[in-house]
Amino acid sequence: MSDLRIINIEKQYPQTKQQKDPAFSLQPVALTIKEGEFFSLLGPSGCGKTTLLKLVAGLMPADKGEIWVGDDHLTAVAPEARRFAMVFQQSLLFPHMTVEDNVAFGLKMQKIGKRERLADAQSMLEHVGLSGYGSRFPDELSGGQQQRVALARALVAKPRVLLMDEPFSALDPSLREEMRELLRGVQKEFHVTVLFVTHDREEAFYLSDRIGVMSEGKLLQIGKPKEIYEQPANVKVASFLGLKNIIEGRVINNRFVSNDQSFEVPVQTSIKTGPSVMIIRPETIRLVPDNIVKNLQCLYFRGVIQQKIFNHGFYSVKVQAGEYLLTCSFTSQEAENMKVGQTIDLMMNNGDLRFLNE
Amino acid sequence: MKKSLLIVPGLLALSLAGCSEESESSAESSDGLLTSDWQEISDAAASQEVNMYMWGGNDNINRYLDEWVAPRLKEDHGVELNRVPMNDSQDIINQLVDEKSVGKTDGSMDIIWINGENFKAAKDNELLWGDFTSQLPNFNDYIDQEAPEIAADFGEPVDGLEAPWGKAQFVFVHDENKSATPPKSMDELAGWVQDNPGQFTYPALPDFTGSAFIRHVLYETTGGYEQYQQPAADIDDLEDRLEPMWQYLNSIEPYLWREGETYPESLAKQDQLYASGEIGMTMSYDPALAASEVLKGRFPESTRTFVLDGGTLSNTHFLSIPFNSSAKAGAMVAINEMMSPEAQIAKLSPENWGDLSALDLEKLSPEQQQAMNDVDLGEATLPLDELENHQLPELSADYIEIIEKGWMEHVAKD
Amino acid sequence: MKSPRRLLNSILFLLLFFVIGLPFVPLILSSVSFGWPWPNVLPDSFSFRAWEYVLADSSGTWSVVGTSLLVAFIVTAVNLLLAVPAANALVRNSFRGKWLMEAIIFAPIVIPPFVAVMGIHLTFLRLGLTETILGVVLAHISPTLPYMVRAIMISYNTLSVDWENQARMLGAGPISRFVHVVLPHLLPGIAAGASLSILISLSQYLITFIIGSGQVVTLPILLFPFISGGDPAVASAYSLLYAGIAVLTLVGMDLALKKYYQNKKAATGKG
Repeated sequence: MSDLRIINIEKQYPQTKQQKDPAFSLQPVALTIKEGEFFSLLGPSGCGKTTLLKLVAGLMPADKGEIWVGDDHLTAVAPEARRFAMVFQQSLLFPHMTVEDNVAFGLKMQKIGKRERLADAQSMLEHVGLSGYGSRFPDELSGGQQQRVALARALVAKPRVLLMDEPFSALDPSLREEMRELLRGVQKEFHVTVLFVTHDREEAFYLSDRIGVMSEGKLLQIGKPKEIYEQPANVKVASFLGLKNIIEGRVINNRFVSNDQSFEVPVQTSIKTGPSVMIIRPETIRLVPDNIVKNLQCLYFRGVIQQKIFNHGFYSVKVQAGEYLLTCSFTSQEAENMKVGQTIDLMMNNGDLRFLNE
Repeated sequence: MKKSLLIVPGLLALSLAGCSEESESSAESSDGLLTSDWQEISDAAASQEVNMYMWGGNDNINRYLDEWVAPRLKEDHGVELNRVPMNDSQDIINQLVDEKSVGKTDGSMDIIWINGENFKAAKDNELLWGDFTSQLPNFNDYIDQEAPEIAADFGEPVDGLEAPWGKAQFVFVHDENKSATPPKSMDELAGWVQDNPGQFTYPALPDFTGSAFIRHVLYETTGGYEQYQQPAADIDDLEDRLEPMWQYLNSIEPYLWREGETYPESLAKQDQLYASGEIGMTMSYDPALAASEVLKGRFPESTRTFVLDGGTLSNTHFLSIPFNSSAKAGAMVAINEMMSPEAQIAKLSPENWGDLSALDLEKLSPEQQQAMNDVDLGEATLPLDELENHQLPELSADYIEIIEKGWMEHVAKD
Repeated sequence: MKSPRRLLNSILFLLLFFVIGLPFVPLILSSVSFGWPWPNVLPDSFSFRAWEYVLADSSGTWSVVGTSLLVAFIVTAVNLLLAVPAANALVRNSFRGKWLMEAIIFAPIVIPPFVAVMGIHLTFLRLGLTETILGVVLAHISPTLPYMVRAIMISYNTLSVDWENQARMLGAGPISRFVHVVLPHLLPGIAAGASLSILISLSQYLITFIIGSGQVVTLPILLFPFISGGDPAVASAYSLLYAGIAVLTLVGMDLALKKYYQNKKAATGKG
């Protein structure tokens, strides 16, 4: 097995005179990325995700910790000898070389014969949809095409790990989606281990097998996209993931009470007494059907519709409940008769609620 | 690694500031050349390469050495003569001073062409080899060793340290078409200047030729050269004696080129003014230069030269051997060869150079005398005997310094 | 549509030609003049005396041209070896005393050479470096290196470390990175620096004269006595020869560079 193991890597930046910010440090990170896995580091800019990527690449020396791939200890190995590949935000194609030579560059460094490496380059260009572009120069390509070449160049030498540093952030949105599709395809095809850095939630959720959410130099949570979404480890993760309907309150006697007293729900014993939040996922909110017998497993409440917006096949409805403006998702059918200003009764299963201590 | 590479150019730059430590030169006549007989010297000279350092700004002189002297030396004596062009003879002295101070004994200068101030500086700093001239057959056979212009160089005793190569004499240069009868004295010159405003000027001091012009004014306005044959310090009332000279120069100033507000900065500039017809008279310490400029087409065909009835300054230029020459025997043979009647006759011809012979005409054979007189000096050059009959001795350097300073104060400043 | 632009281009070209070409006209005339009295626009008559002298075998002009070029090219090669790491360090690193290093390297631009050359002369005399090509080359480095470093620093400034990192991540070691990534990027800067280095080396009089002590003779050494000696014809002929050699060298370098790029394209562009 050639898993990528990151063992308690840490890095402290000295505080410089020019920068007024306090010294930045990357807290110890321990992480194992399985062979063939697509792992994303997700976080706002400045959270340390690129630093972690560079530490893994070896482009920056770590203060402490170790990097392993399978049984190879790589901490002291030079980046060029790690058999990794990296795609940067800019395509960084060598301007004086043709596309073909760019793609074959890694093979040339491995002293592979000209004919063989050019053949490999050609076939890799086919995989990224650029067959026939081999003899062009990089400045004759569009931004998206350049990034495809960069991807092909990274993959052609069959790297043990492919590192990607926000590779699509410089592209426009439609192109970005196209590239995601392409990357997902080739990643599965070549079964390459990918460590992907991004601040784009959608991108991370779309591509990743697992995601690590980072903030302020700390790795906050690691998990499958669904786990992270449904069970964020803390408020920071939740708010960075853009979760809606975060309601502040307190836990007393195993019951959560919102600050305005309008919500009161029983919680599991694992939630400690004290200040905490309740997260209601918009899609778990339902209309209360007529003539229903209320039960204890559900939370019921009443609200006034403030806004109704059609959004990609469903309706996003804002409902004023107590002091909170909650976002709910309804099917077209459900939302058909809703009007702004109308009072409606809503419900959700207690099990769909997520409670976090602050 | 990279940082240490950066230091290399830095250190290089720093090492440029290195300083000297005094070390005594060892090059004296240890090789016995100063006492051996000529045959031995000739044998030692064969196949030596001799570097001759000299001013290189005249194509005629360069060609004379490269095309006349060098091939003959090579053929007759196996000596390879390599002419090294210099911009200023002063540089030769500076270089030798540096070489002496670090004790360089294998110098590349074998012959140097000097006279006057440079000779004095070289002699004072002991940059010259020794009394070698008495070893040269041609020096012994053809040179009048008693003549003052041979025995002393601008008042400085030669002591055999340098061998006479040629003579120069001051002449005025004028255009016959503009002034048919040139002035014959300083008084007449003043009249000519007033009659031809804007047509006369002289190079600003300390230009060598401009300074020489003023020495003529000194001799003629203060009663002859004889009184100045003693050190300047011995004349108590020197300032008063010089007064008529300053008066003369100031009296002609308003009639000079550009009303005397400015003077040409060098003789080269003044010659340019004459060549382009802007002024009607120039001067030269080389009596044949005008003829050669006519041959080159720079000066008009109607150019002539003249001397004053009271005579003009003349001096001798010499060849010497530096203390650390690596080819002293070769240098002696080459210098001897350049003093031969054949070489001197060729040198006299304006087509080659037009430089006056350093030899004593009376010591030559009748045929050689004939050949010397037969040289066509060109219409612009005066006959040899006319030049010879109008020669005045030079002033020593201490006077020249006083005059140059005085000119700045009395003439240039007003 | 295009004609006004073409007209403008022609005018600019003519202007450039006049600004650059015009000073050569009197030089050419002067080099072949035989008498040029003052108010005349053109010389009276012509003669090839000056050119005959300059080109005569005995004047040794061609061997002097050879020496000049030899010195200039060695100086430039040495400069290149020194300037690339120096520029790299000055642009990429920050270290104590960096400003001092920069000041030392760039000092020769502002400090006239004769200030230093006297000290150099004594030191070189002691080291036995005077009168040798090596000594002259070393002495020429001080006035030329700053321009080389400057030009390459500008190139380095536009080369982001990302490029080298990218090559690194593709398995390129230090030498490969330099050859395949850094060098092609520096090439225009190197060409500019080398041109300056060659021109400045070719034009050195004082340093060559003092360190070469007459045994290393370059074109300015032949030329200067004629300028100060007042023989404008020979001086003009030498000046023209000098300008010709300089232009030929630069054009040659430019062609070599273009050919390099073409070969590069041809080698990779066959399909």
